[in-house]
Amino acid sequence: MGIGLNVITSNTASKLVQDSAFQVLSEGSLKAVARPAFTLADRSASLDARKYSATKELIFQSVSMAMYFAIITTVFQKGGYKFLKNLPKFKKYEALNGINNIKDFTKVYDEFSKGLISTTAEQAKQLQHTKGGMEVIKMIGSGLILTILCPLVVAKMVSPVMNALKPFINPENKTEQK
Amino acid sequence: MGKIDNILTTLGTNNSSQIATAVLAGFKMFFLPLATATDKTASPEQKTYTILRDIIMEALALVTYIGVTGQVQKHATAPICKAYYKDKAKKLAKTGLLTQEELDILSNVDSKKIKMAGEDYLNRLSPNRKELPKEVSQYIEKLNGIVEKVEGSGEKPLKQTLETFVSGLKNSKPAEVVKPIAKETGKAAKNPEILKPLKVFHNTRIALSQLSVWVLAVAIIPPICNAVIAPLMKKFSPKTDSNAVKKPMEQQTLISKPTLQSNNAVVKKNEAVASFRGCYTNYSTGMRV
Repeated sequence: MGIGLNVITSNTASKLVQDSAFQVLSEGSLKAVARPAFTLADRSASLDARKYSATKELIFQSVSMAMYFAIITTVFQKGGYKFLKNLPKFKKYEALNGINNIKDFTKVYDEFSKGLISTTAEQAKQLQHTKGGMEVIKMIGSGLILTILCPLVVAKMVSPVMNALKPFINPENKTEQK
Repeated sequence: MGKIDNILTTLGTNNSSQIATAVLAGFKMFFLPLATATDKTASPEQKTYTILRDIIMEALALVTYIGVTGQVQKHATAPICKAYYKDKAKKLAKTGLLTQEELDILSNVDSKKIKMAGEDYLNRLSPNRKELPKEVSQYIEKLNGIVEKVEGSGEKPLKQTLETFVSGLKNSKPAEVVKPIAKETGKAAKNPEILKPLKVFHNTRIALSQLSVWVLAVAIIPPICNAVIAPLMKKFSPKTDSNAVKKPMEQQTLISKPTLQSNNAVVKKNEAVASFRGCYTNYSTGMRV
């Protein structure tokens, strides 16, 4: 009980959970296991339809997580910070003077959120707005990649993957064809 | 600009898990079925089942992530905060840092007042924010005082200014921070870390949002989807294909029937009898065939 309470109330857990990358990736990895399992257990459709749906779900979650790592955490974060800094609203922010990349901003914000950097109220507001702006950029990136690009890629992958897995599927499938 | 600032501050300081996941679920509800519909290699039944499943799953995710997670945060945060302070009080009782009265306060924190203060902090940017009752503010100050008393007997790192820290980043050398020498007493070394009420409330609320999303995604939404999809599949499953499959079979049986009958010796005999009977019948009526 004590350990659970310490984890739930800890600053580290709070910081980790507020990162949209962690939110999306953790949810996706759990869904990659749970959804196909429940799909295969469902009896409202034929086995063929269930296999198609389960395969598609598994591929989608796996590909989307890979794409998220490859694109969101690199391109969108790095490019997003530079884009944000050039926006008229954020150009005026004195708190961002000298913080030229996302890596430095992350270090500054980590120390700030732990209370180890003293700031004026205005500087604190500017740092919080920048963090919020980065989360918006990550959400937009997630939206583009996970909801538009990824489904189109996955739709083309399902049938080849199912064909490749046919030799490994149980003999029950072969007897049905006979 | 005020609304944009509020959104940016909320996402920067209070980014609960359900915000991003619900937004993505809303988009996936439209785009996943569209992508499935473009797959030309899948059969109509496969497509129908997958599209229905995608829509139901993401719709359930959108509704439950916002609704259920919100309710969990509303009702479960304060009791967990109370349990947290009770647990800390037990550990602090052994250190002798607090008086008995202070330990009693920690063991029996008023979770309602913590909830009021926490929600007041969440609504701090709202124009409709109501003033927090004085007794609640004073109670929170009392708790803060107890926490500071515990913290004060331990090591406290010095704060740097933002400019100092950033210049340290540029030079690739962090500015040297002089740490105060910790008191060399056994009690100070064994201090359990304890957070202030608003911090505990905020951290708990955020963590609960993530736990709720995980439980919903793994254990609640998929079984509900299985229950909901069964009647919908009966309604929407493609029937024309099953009829099309049947027709060739029926035609085959029609084609095969005459050949089977012509090869059957018993049937031939019966046919001959039938034709004889037909003549006989005609004869009885006086009409010959």
